[in-house]
Amino acid sequence: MFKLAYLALDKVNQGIIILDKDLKIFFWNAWLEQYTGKSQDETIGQKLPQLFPDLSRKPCLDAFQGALFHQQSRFLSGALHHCFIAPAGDIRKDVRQNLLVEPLYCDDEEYILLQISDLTGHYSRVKQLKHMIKEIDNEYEQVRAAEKINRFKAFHDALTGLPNRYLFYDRLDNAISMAQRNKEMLAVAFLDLDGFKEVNDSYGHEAGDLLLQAVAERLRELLRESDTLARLGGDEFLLIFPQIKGEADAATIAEKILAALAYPFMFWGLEIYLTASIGISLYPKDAKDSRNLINKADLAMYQVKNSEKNDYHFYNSSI
Amino acid sequence: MLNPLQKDVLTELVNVYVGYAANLLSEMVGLRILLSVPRVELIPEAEMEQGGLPLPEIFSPGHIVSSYISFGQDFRGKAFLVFPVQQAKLLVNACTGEQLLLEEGDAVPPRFLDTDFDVLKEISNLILNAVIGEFGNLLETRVVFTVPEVELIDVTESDQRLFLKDGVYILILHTTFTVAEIQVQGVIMIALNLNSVSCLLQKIDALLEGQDV
Repeated sequence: MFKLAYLALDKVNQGIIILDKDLKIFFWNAWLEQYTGKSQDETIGQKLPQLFPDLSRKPCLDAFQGALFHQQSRFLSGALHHCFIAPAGDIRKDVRQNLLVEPLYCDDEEYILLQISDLTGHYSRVKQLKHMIKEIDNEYEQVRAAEKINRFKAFHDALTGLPNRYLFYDRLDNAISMAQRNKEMLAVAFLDLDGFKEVNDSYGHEAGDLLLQAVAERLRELLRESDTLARLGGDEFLLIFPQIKGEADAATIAEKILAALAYPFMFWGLEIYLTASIGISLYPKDAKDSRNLINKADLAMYQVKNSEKNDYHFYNSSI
Repeated sequence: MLNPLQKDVLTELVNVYVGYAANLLSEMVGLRILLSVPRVELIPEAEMEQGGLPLPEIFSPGHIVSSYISFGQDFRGKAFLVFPVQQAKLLVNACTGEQLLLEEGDAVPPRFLDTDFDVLKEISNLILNAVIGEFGNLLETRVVFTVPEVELIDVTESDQRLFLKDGVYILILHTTFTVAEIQVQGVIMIALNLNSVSCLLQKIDALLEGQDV
């Protein structure tokens, strides 16, 4: 029976060492013979910490003492201690071993049982896994950033960076709900540049694009944070002025816009003059939904276009 | 359960015990680690089960990392070291010198790999051995230990009570780890049978009487 247990320990797929109370090797299994290149004949009776200096480090000696004198079992991880018993002729760089130290008693004698597992392969897989997780995290971040950009692109005009038609409708619906809840007024302005086609025809599309960007910038500077400026396409812009007290507020903003556009736009050594036609509709007076408010502002704008231009008109039922 | 004087003595004793463990841990990881137990409670498990007493805050429903050892002979019971999952990861990272910043968002528990569990196993082994071993010395009794098992547990309200079911009395040591200027909160819970609790209280009372003399 004893021989059978002995043979079994030799077959175990990890290092098994039994030490006596003087830390001399009492048992050294076959796995360790192969792993270290040291035979039982070379090791039995030798002091383990002298044979393998890594085992003379304080945590190991503490663990041996704890097992011998306090019957404590101790686990020492490869993550913190790396290696306890150097493998023979091993070219692997970062050998990791777990060590389990347990007290043993036999015939009133105290022994220590050491179990050593080589986890180098496992650690290297964990390292790869961590690397992979990091890469996936990075890729996920990139996807998230790309998504954010795409979401922005889906709702903004590429040339001016202003909200596009879809975002404008969304903002207008929200502004209407808010105005309805708070019993407030809001204005929608439809702005069409006068003479933009001539600029495009005379100086080319590139100049037209620069002009649209400059107009967007100039209009943006005039607005409150709660206002919305959107580009509908071509030279058409839409604006929302929420929380206004009456027609007069909307008129003031429209006048400011016309005044701001009266200054020439300078680029390529050119001095370009532009004006705008603005149509304004009011919630809840003219319409209570976004589509009708925009339509009515559009109609009012065409009234300006068909007359003297460079002006603003409020929608009225006679249009 | 403990009168104020007994509580003071027990608090002082366990602070000395975890102090030993902190020294061992500091040597092991090459960092200055401080351990303190500012608060100690001894609660009859029946009262906890009936919902008469609140569980430590650390047991709020969610993921926790728990490791436990059982110990026996004259001083019998089970000892647990319990951390909220984020805190456990922070402790592992501090000990292995990895990045201390965890991912944002409390809803996502940090990723634990086997090697992280090995580190926690070793830390809890050291701390629980030190605490239980010193209790054994105090009671002048031989204590036999097992090596801790570490688990990541999703604790629901009902699980919390089952988790503690084994002992008659629960000694709760609210523990603070200070590693590399970060603080990690955990709880050492020792589930003790009636006999062990009696021995412990007798010993504490004897210490108190000794002081009076």
